[in-house]
Amino acid sequence: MAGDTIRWRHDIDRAREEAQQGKLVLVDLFNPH
Amino acid sequence: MGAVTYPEPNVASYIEAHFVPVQFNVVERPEVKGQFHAPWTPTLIVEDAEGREHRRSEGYLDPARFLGEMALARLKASLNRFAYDKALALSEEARRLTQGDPAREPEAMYWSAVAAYRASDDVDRLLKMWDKLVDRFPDTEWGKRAAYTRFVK
Repeated sequence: MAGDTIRWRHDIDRAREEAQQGKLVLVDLFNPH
Repeated sequence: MGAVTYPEPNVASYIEAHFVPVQFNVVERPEVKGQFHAPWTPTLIVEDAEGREHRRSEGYLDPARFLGEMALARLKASLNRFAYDKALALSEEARRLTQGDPAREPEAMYWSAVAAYRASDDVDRLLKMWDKLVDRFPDTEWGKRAAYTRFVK
């Protein structure tokens, strides 16, 4: 467990590569306004 | 989401434990709206390492509904990949984390029944669980989807 902070990535291809370890990818599209 | 849901410790630890989280600001990166076919924000998409989408949610979710949504996403991703034993193992969590959520609790019961059936090949498990779903949530979308079994008995 990595504590209470989410370590967001910003590159979908790298995230998918990382997910090969057995996780799913969660994509969050947001508008700050 | 960023103001209320993500700062919640339970949410952050759940995401870190089960997902590789990727975030895009659509104002700075407008091309991602087309890439993910997402005209609205917030949009949450759960996909696997091959980029296959397993679940999508549009609109704000508070921490409790977010956790239920993610638990359902994990359950559905396992079913979609025919990983029935894993789906069965995840179904209890999906039911627990959706408890009291009128939109998601019936759906969790529906897919938990499917997981139990697929993992055991015992159709009675499906029918009994769907029976409970129809009794408890007869007027919901998922209750109605399960109710057809009563007409074909």
